[in-house]
Amino acid sequence: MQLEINRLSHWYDNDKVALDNLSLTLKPGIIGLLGPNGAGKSTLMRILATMGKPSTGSVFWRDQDTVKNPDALRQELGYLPQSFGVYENLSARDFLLYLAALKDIPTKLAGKTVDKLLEQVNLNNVANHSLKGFSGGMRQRIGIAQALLNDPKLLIVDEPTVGLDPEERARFRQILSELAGERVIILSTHIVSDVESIADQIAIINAGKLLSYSSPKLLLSKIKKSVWSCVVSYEDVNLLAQQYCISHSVKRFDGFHLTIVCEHKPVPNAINIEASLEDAFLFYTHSKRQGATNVLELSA
Amino acid sequence: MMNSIYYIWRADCLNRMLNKRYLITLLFMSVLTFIFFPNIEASYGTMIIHGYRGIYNSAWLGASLAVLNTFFLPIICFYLIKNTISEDINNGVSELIAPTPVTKFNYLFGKWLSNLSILLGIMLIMTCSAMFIQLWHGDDHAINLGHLFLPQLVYVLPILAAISAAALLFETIPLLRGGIGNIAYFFLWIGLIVRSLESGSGVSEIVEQIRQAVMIHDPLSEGGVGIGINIWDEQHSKLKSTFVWSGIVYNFVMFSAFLKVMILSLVLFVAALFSFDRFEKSRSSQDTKRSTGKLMLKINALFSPLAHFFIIVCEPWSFMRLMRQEILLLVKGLSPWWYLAITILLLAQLFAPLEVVRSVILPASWILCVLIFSPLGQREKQEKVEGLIFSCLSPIKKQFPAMLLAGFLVAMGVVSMALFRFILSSEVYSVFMLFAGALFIPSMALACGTLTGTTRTFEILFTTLWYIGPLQGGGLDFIGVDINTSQQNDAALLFILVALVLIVLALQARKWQIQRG
Repeated sequence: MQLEINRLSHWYDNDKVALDNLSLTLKPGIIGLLGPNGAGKSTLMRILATMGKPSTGSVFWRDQDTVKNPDALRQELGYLPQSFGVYENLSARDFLLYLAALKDIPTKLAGKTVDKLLEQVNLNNVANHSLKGFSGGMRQRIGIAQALLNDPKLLIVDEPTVGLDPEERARFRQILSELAGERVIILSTHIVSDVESIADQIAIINAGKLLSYSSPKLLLSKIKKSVWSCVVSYEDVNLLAQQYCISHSVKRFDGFHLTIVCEHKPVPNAINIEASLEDAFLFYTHSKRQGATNVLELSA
Repeated sequence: MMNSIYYIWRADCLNRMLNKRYLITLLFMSVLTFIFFPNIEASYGTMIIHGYRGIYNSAWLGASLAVLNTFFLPIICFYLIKNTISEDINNGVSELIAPTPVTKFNYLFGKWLSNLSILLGIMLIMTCSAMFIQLWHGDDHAINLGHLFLPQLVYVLPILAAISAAALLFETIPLLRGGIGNIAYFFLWIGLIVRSLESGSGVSEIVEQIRQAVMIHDPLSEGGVGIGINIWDEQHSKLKSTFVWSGIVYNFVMFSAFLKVMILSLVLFVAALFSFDRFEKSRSSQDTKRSTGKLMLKINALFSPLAHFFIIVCEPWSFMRLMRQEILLLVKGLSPWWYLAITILLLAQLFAPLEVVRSVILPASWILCVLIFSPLGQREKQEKVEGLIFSCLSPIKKQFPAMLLAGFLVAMGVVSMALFRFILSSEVYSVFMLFAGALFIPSMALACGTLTGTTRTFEILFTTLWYIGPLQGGGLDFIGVDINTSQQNDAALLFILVALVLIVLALQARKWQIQRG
C-alpha cells in the first residue's frame, strides 16, 4: 500500500505554476508536508484528495490511477480540507451520520463510529446540539471526526490545527500518532511544531517543487553545520536580517541572541549549534540561506 | 445506495426545513391560499368561468387549487428550492462531499427528493388551508379529502417533481446557477411554461369540465375563463353567481398528462445528472476568474482616464472616496460582455429615436443591471466581511449612504446618454422619471438585500416589476415608457416616495445586521 505521485504539474490559466514536476512515493506512516504559504501544498492536497485534476502527471493508489479513476481511492480516503462548512441546522451527530452515509458506511456501524469519534474529539457532550452554536475550534474538530469516519487508509489533513487551542492541538497530534500504522497520513501545515514530534517522513515544498523528502533525523543531520548562534548589537540585527535568514531572535542584556540559518559562518563570533526542524524548514525554503558572500564584519 | 440517498435527503430536508425562512414561506403560502379564495363580496375573483365560480365545497376548492397551483407554483417554488447545491458550494459542505465515494446519481437523487419534500410540505399546507377555508366560508361543511387531495396528487405533484428537477438542472449548469439563471427562468416561465402547462398538464381538461358544468347550470352564460387575480373592472365584469361543482371526472387525457409531466421530470433529472460535475467547476472558478483577468486589464486600461478623473474629483472628501470604492465594488469584475453591451446601449441612447430609447433602450439598459444591484445590502454577508465592515467607523452614517449613492450613480450612469437627450429636448418629466427610477432601483435592492440576506429576492422582484411595469405598461412603470400616463399618475413622485420608504426599511434592517454582527 503506497501513494505514488508521478511528475505532477499544475498551473493556472494565468500561467502561475502551482506544482512543478513533483514526484514522490508515500509509504505507510505520518508524512509531514511543510511549505510556506503559496508553496503549492493545498493544490497538491486537493489533487491527492481527488478534488482537482493536475495539468499533467498521475497519482497511483494501490496501482490505480486516481486522476482517471478517483473512485478507486475515495472508499479509503479521509480528507480534512483547509476550509469547509457544515449544515448549521443539523446536530453534530446528524451531520456526521450524513457524511458517514456519503462514505457508504452501513447505518449500524455508522452510529457506533460517530459516537466513538465524537468522544475522541471531545464533543460527545454536545453531540445533539445544533452546529449553529459551535465555535471555530469545535467545527474544526467536527472536520477531524468526519475525516476519520471510514477508518481511512489514506488520511489527508490540510492545516488541521487552525483554530484549535494548545490542548486540542496536542490531542489531535495524539489521535494522529495512534492512527499511524498501516495507513498513509499526510499532514500539511506551515506550523513546524505540528509535525516535529509525530512525522516519520517530512516533505518540504516551495514554489511547487519538492525540495526535500526524508526522515526528520536525516533532515536535521543534513543541516547540522548550517545553524549558527551569535550575540549582536541592535544596529547589527538589521544588517544581518537583510542578508541572512534569522530563525530566532531574543533580546537580552548583552545584546540580541540570534539563530541564523546559513551555509557558512555568518559573523566571526558565531558558533555552530544543534538544528531544529524549523531551522531545516527555513534552510530549504529561504532565499537567503547562502547569506552574504563574505563573513560580515560587525560594529561591535 | 438507499442509505446514502436517505441521509442526503434527510440532512438536506432538516437543514432547510428547520430554517425559519421555510416556516415563513409556509405561512405565506397559507395566506396566498386565502387570497386564492376570496369571499363573494370581494372586488376580485381567481377562477371565474363564464362569470361563475363554484361554491366553496371540497370539489371546487380541490380542483381550483390544483389549477391555480399549476400556474403559480412553478414560479414561486422554483426560486424557493433553487439553492440546494449552491448552498453546499457556498457554505463549504461541498469540500467534504466531493472526496467521498457518493455517486452523482445518489447525491442528485437525494437532493431531488429533498426539493420535492419541501414542495410537498407547501402543497400540504395549501390543501389544509383550503380545507379550513371551506369550513370558514360554510358553503358546504362536508369535507371530502379525496376531492381536496386527489387533484393535488394528479396535477400538482408531477409539476412539483418537474420543478424540483428543473431547479437541480439550473444549479448544475454553472452559468445558470446564479442571477442569470433566475432571470432566465422568469422569462422561460412567462414565454413557455405557462403555455405548455395550459395545453400539456391536463388542467385544460378540468377547466373544460367546469365550463360544461356551468353551461348545464346556465345554458345562456357567456364570457371567458379567468384564471389568476381578476379585478372587477370594465374588462372583467363582476361575478354573476355561484354553482355547485361536483368534482373532477378523471379520464385518460388526465392520466396521459400526468405521465407526460413525470417523463419531463425524468428528462430534466437525467440532464442534471449529465451536467453535474461533482463540484469541479465551482472549485476551479478561481481559475476562470484569473483567465478573464487579462481581458479585464484591457478594459481597465480603456476606462482608466475616466477612473483617473473620478479619483481626482473624489479625493478631497472621505465620503466621496468611500462612494468611489462602493462604485468599484458594484461594477468591477463584471464580464467584459456586460461593458460592451452597456457601451452599445449608451450609444443607442444617443442616436436612436426618442420613442425607441424610451420603450426599448432604457428598459434594456436597466435590466442589464439586475445582477449589479442584487448584491447591495447583503454583499457583506455573501463575502463574509461583516466583521470588517460593521466594525468600521460609521457603517450607518457613512457606508450606507455611500452605498446608496453609488447605486444611484451607476443607475444614472447606464442611462446617462438618454438623460442628456431628454435635457436637450427639454423633456422635463422624462428627466424626473429617470431620477426617480435611478433612486428606486438601488433602494429596492438595498431593502431586499438587507431584509432577506439573499440576492434572489431582488432579482426576482425587480424582473417581475420590470416585466409588468415598463414592458406591459400601467402604474408600475418606473422608467416612464408611456410618459404621458406616468405624468398623469405622478409616477415619478410615487416612485421617489416608495424609494424613501425602502431606504428607511433598509436602514433599519442594516441596523439589525450590525447588532447581530
